[in-house]
Amino acid sequence: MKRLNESDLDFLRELSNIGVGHAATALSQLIGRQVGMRVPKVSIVDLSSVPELMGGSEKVVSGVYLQVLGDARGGILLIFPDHSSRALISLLLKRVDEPLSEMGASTLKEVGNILASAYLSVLGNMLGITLIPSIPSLAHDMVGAVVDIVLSDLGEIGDTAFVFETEFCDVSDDIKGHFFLLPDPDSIDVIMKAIRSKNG
Amino acid sequence: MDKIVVRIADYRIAEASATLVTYGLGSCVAVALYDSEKRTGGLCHIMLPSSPGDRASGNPKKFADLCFSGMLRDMQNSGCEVSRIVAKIAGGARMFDLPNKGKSFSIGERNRDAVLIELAKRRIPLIGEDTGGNYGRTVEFHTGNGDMLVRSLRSETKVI
Repeated sequence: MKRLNESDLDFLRELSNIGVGHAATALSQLIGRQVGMRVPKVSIVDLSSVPELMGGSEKVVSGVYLQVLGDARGGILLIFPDHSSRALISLLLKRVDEPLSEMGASTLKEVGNILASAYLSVLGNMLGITLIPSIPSLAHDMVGAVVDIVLSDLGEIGDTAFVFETEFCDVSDDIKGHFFLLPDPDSIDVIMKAIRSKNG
Repeated sequence: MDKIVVRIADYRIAEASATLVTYGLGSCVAVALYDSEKRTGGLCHIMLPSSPGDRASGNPKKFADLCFSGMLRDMQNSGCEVSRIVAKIAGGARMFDLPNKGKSFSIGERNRDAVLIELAKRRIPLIGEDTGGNYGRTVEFHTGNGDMLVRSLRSETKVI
């Protein structure tokens, strides 16, 4: 992971920016509202600090997790604060969903699928590698418990993870979310090789 | 009464009547060890079943085997006897129903099994357990009486 230099990270930031731009457009079309995305952070984070980054381990969230398959592997985790996931569902289903119904759950999974697919297709095209999202899966629970899946995946060989993270929100600011892409440590080489061949 | 927070991939031990707490366990497992005579307890929050050997790096306390032995050693250093120690565990859920059954799919069960092996090796009896399911848990452990409180969004607080 150390071998990624500043220029590599800049290039990844730029690619991620385009990728999340496409994902934001996809989400805007889905919900019929303008959605903005922050310039993505591409950083290396201490795994044990991830729950705190999300507002504390006990905060209730909806997490959509997809595995990344293809030339490089990893995981995508989308985290919506509880109120945002409710707002998203009521926008899309035109009704209040309390408690979370099966329909509400599949709506969130579909949103995750659309965002992840849009992002991965851009990233894959620009890097010249194949990246395919798996079927999404959902957990509605404490954020500490939700992020365990990526922590345990990555934690086996290190304490730090290479994370692409962005935040998106719609104009009314009641729908927010975090988008994490966590490449498998073994796939960092594949990504790096692809970057170097494109970035000179 | 102050709460002593146990972070992920860490452990704490406390004497007298303290409250050790660890938040948001998913596939992770919390293990409480307790010596009632010394009224001393320890709580750990482990992430992974066992160290992969050479490839392992960083904090050893994320692995069940290494975290457990560290916590037990610290308890012995503060006067606890292994023969008096009992254990309670919670966590080890399967948070996501993954379509491709990768290595992370059953991590919760594997964490639980790894802890049971560590307990068996040292003949430490497991006297309380709340594991499995598909939901997160927060655990409080009281060193005054050895009670473990398990909170979740799905059910009432359990005392084990």
